[in-house]
Amino acid sequence: MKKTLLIFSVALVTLMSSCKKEEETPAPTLYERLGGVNAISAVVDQFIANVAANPKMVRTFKPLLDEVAAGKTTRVTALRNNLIDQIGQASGGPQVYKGKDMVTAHKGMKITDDEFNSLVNDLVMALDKFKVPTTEKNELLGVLGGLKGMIVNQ
Amino acid sequence: MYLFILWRRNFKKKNQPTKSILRPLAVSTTKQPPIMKAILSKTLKTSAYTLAILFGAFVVYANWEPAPMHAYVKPISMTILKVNGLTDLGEANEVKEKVSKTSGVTACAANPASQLVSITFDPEQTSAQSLTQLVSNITNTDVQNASFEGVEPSGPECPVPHEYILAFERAKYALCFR
Repeated sequence: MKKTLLIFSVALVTLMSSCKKEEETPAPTLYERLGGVNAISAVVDQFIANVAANPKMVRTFKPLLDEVAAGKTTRVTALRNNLIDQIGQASGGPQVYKGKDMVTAHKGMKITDDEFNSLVNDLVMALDKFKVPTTEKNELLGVLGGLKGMIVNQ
Repeated sequence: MYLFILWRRNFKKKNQPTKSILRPLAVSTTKQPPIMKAILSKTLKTSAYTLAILFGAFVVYANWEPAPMHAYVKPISMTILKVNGLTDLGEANEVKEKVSKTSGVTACAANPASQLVSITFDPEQTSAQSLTQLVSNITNTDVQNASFEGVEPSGPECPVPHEYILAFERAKYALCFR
């Protein structure tokens, strides 16, 4: 009798544990779907190159462009580092953006809607170059597009 | 001033030699008096302790949080070239594709509206001069570094030179052991 009970209870426990739901793996973040820090830095490099060649961006990025023309790259490096951290953090990555907030960073620059849209276009071209899927692209643009109010007309 | 006051306080009058115009010449210039040695030694010790404490504080600050992710990405350089006559979109795309395939180039953009070609590259693998020559060969024109004179900047600039900020960041990353 005891043996029967023991076998029955072991069988019951085995059955119940096999019915247990498998732990759901968390969905990959946008950062992981984009490809991590190396992919983000490649997109940022292309974005910076697009912006530097864009005639509408000369007024906004004049100090950076003058420095590049003089053979230095400290401002480019600083901008690149901040963009990598900001996009990484915005997409759920481990980066932490430590630059100025958008309002302070763009205060006094009087950036127009046209200039902002041109900048977004440069970012879209950079994402298209690396064939980023539409879902991820729209997700990233949605996150960064929310910064428009803090950048334009400051 | 402080050193002078210390010297006066410890100077013993009874050992003071007779006043003479030649006295300064009579005193040996090769040996420092003992009191000056002690002051110098104390100053050096204080400076060394202060520097050690400051360095220790900087190491603690550098390790307070993990290094930023951008520190793990290879640094880049950039060059912007003015290509007169680059008005055709097809030619601009050709320049972009050929330059992008070059070893060491991380990104390239060619804009016929501004006739500019901007290139980001790894300075360890290639150089601005070789890229300028490459673009010149592709377009069969003289290529120069772009100039942005005559355009007013849009807003205020950071008063601290960026070189100082980047040097500080690099030192912080070098001392981060996390």
